[in-house]
Amino acid sequence: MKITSPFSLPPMAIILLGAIVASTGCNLTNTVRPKRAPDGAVAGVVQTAPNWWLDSKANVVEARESVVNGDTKKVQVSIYSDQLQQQRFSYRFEWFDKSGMRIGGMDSWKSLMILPKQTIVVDATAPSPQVSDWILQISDTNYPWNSSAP
Amino acid sequence: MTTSAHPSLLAALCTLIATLGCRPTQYVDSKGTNLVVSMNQVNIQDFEQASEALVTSMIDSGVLAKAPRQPAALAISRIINDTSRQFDTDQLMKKIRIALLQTGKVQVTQAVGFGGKVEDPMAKETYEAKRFLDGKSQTPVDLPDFTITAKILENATSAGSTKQISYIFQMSLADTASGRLVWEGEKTITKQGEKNAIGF
Repeated sequence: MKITSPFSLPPMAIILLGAIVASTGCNLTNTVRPKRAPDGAVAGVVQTAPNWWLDSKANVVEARESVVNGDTKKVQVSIYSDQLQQQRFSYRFEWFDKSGMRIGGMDSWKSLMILPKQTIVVDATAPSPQVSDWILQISDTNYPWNSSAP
Repeated sequence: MTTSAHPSLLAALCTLIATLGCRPTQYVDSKGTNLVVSMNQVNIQDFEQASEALVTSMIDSGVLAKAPRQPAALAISRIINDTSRQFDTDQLMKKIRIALLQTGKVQVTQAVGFGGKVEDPMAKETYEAKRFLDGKSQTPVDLPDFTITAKILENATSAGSTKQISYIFQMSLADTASGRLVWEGEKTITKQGEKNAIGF
């Protein structure tokens, strides 16, 4: 059986394969969790970023927590874009109680624009006082083939 | 000379065609980003984002935690849709009520309602019957500590073939003990384009 090296493919095949890889790669969601100190305070973030392109335009550099309404957790994260052009991304928070159970439904995805080399702050308030932890999901779902409806 | 398509090229073409081809009807995440964005009406994601923003602002203000009794009794007052399209304002208000109830700081009273109407007439009748049976008919009913009013406005403009429409969601919370507005919030959602689209 003859094994074909990808370098021997016709140029069109390489372009098409690249387009497919690029389009499926856009589907990956990056995840950010708080890194906690022994006292429970936020001491940084842990990022899982399988989508390197998304990470380059929406990288979480800092996270903060406070309490509002007496007993409800509020989260604020700073997101930096290392890109030289204006970019868009989407994000949403997921909330968990002390047992790790998800609280409420998921927040809706929110779409944001970020300028070149800009750091923006996004925040969210937990849906319930039972919330003790959170995860931030960052996504890049504005696919080019979905750009217009009939 | 015979030319035949490279198998990998064919496979790649098929995959691309399948990816870019017609869109069959499918279920999508109602809170996702792959929803239809309309230029001439409020979409579900607009209600979702407006309610989340308004509830977050109200919770962050801390005003609900300062109520003399916990959970405080809340009643829904006048809700005005001042946009060019008719829709049920419960698409906004129900989300807000659900989110507020989840905080544990408020409960929605059915003892009184705007214009004498409540959402659940049976709850009101049963409440009144129980008060009568308990000999409490002469005592004051469970009056709301807070009332909510809201208004949804529209602002449309265009430049050439590009249209822009803004939906402005305004909401106020009144403390019935003082008759004063103790919190107000506003969320504007603006959409710009030439035609409806999928995804945002």
